[in-house]
Amino acid sequence: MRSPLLEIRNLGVEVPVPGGGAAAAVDGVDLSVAHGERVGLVGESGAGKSLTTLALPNLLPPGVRIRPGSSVRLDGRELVGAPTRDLRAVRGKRVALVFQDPTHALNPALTVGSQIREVLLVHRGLRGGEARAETLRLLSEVGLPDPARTAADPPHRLSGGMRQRACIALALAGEPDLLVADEPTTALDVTVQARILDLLVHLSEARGLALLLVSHDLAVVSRTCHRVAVMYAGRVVEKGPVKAVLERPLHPYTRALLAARPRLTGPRTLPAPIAGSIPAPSAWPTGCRFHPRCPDALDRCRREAPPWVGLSPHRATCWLHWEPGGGAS
Amino acid sequence: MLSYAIRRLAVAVVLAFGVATVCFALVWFAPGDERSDLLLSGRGAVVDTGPEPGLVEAYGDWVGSLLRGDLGTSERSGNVARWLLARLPHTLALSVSGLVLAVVFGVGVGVLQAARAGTVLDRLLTLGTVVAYSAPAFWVGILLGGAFIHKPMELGMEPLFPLTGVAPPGGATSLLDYIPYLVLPALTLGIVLGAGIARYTRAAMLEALAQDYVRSARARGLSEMRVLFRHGLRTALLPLISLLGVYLPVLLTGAVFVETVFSRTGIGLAMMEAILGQDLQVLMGGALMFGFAAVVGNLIADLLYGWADPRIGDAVRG
Amino acid sequence: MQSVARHQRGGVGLSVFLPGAPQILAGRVAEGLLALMPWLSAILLLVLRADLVSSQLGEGSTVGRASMALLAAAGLAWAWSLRDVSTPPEAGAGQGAWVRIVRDPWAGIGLAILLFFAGLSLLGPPLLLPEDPGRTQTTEEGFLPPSMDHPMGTDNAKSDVFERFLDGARVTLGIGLLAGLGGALIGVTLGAWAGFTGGWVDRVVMRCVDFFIALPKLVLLIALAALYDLGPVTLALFIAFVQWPALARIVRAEAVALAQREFVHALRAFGVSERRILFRHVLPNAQGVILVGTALAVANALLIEAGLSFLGLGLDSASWGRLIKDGGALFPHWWVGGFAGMSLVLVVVALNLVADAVRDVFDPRADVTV
Repeated sequence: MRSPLLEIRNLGVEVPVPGGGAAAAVDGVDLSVAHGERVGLVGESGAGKSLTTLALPNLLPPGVRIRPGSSVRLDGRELVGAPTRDLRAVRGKRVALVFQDPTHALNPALTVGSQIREVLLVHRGLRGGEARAETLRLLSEVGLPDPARTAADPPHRLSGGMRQRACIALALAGEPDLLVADEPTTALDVTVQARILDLLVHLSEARGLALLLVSHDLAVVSRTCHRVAVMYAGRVVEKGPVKAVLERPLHPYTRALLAARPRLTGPRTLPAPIAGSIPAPSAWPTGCRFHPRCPDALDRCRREAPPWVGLSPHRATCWLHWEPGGGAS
Repeated sequence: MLSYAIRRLAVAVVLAFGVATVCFALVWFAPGDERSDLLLSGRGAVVDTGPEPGLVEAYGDWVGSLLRGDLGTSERSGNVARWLLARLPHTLALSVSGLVLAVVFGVGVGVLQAARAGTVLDRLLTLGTVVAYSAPAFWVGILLGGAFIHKPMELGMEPLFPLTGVAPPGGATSLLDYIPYLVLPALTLGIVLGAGIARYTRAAMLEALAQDYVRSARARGLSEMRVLFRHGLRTALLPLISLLGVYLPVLLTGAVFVETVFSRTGIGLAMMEAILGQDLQVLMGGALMFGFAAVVGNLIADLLYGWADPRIGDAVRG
Repeated sequence: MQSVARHQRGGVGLSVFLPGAPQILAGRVAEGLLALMPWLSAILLLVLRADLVSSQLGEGSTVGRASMALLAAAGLAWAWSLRDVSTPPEAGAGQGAWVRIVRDPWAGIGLAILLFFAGLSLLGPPLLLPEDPGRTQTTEEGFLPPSMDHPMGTDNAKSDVFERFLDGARVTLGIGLLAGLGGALIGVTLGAWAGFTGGWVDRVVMRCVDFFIALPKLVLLIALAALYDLGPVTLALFIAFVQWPALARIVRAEAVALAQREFVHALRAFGVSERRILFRHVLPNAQGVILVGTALAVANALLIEAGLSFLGLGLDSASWGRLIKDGGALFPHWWVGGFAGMSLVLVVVALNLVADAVRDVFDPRADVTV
């Protein structure tokens, strides 16, 4: 079997805590993405999803650092601790990032075209007419109607959806193998969101591009991805094929997430919000971190961290499904 | 962009008119009687014939002669406009080279500080720029003159730069002959003005580097140099262009002091000599020229800003 | 805890001899220097001019009053430092904006410099110059280097540079302060009025501001000073008049922003008068920018006054600018202009340091870190 494109093992990210010290905002995440595979990473804000994505090519803000013992392998090559020069060759070239807010992700002082040509020059050595032609091709590939005009425009002249398309074109410019999209549709209008998601799926299939899609919305992931990982308080609590996880969620948190979103089909029930919110990394509970908000929490959940249960590939960390002697529900 | 340019041009004309009016008012309301001489000499009339003109009439005559480029004549210097224009190149050379040095120093130091923010180097440079920013141009000029001219002379050495003036005693044979005379004066302006630019650049760079698009640029694998200069500096420098418009008066007044310190025969020194020689026409002509220079400089800064910032054109159109 | 107590005891001992020193060692530079300076000056005065002080102390003369003031300041500093050292620091104290400004080391140094020159220009002339003013005017020789008799040497006219320096401090600092505060007053008033009222008032005021900012004001001041005979007050007034636009622009921007805030609407809804809203609610919220602008206006006014005097256009009396002009080239007679030039830069640096600290405290956006 071919090794996965991206393999994250025991990733920890430490953030400074007000008053000194550090807390692990991401705490032992394991995740892998195969070539051409689309994986969703789901959770509320504060779960550590964005830090996980920023940690991949080490773009963490100052003061935030990757915990020793973490491993991020791209095609088998270790990225944690790699020199900046090597990381720069990965950023944009192998792994491209698309951020949540397209308004601030583009430099307002440069035209869209010149920002794309910059990447083409740095990663592919293209210049002059070649670079211009490739820029137009990329802009039309992401579905911008008038590539020549868009290339000459400064970002502020584009609408939000067009800007996100431009950002995706920028991400594609280095011909990456993996596109990491951090809440790429959250800042956009609902009607635009669906089209951007369709574009991502289309690009992934057309180019054989792997996609790591971060979202707080299970619906977004369900229509795009093959597999999903649910994060809570710095840890992955459930992962598996999208269909399985959505239809038979194991972890109470996943069930709560599903219940919290409005349904257009089926019985007309009001969405059930999850009480409370994720605590700060410095105040994470012992045992299962979800237990204070869990309706079914057992005594054991408060004391001991739950083990992985369930049959591969659909697994979760929860005492509720644990049976002594192995196996699952 | 065109309507923006026309609007700025109109503002500049109004400003220039205002400058001229302020100069006129200064003379008209001044005590003493040589003021009316000044006003009348503008149109070449004889002073003692006829009654004194009224305020409106005198103002009209004065503006009229000004529009013809006539700044009057004086006993000491003849045709004032010609006298001042002959000195203009020296002031221009000083101002432009001072400005270039200031931008080079200021942007260089500011970028270096932002790239090394929080280090000892950054702190030392911060202190240095505060001191340079606080020093008046004439004192910086005296210090530089002391260090490079007078101290060596006191020690019996050749001074590193010529003492005073703008050109060798026998006259310049080529443009290169002017340069040794320009070094210290231009350096003075460069230090005084550059300190302000450095303080601004550091703050603007730090703000620019904290933006999301800088993180995105890093995420695209661009080198730190490219991120710093193309993405950070470019946005930080846009407001600097309009800041240069604000600095222009500082530059021009600085030129007056520097010319005085180094005895450069430019317009500033001509004004100072005019004060000693009671030569009011030259004094007012010089003030007018500096005022107009500031207006023109402001206009250039505004136009540059409109040209460099794509958002301006749209904001004006919309 | 024990080491803290021991440190405190050591602090008490140190404080008795050098009030302010424990505070400086604890990083509170401004407070420490403010206590240490009057103390050291008083000791220095008693050592150097014991006869003068003892003969004049009871008298109502200028010298007597000045020595009384200095000794009182030293006593106060001594008492304050001792009390400060012997009381334990209160937990959680010192978070207010003003305390943070004073405790900022750079601002502390700036404040100490300002106090030093304020004290020097007020108390220096009566206490440090010989009683008989005629004596120093005619020294034996011109261009004497600094010595015990003439701490700053003598100039070409054979006068004592130190005496001229002290007189110049009064003129330069006095006119700078007057003109800076005057300009700030005009600027704050017009800026707040324009920003808060809006409409045509705002447009007219801001057009004037734009016009003034574009002018090479000092060149016009040069012409003005050459044409008119200026006294100290008129000179300060004219310098103030070129100072106001910068401050008006900042305060206006702040007032415009504040006028749109919720709490102002709420106050209006409660029927609070516009004037009261402006003075009681809007201006206090703009105190940071006002303070920064005022400090910079004073700094600017100092430089303008010195510049005009340097060109020979200021007041006829002494000024640091005139002293620098008389000093001419720095070498060989560096002492004539050097002390005045360095002091001028020091005072302006001090004002800038204080302004920077105030800006940092009041505008948290300013300390962007990467």
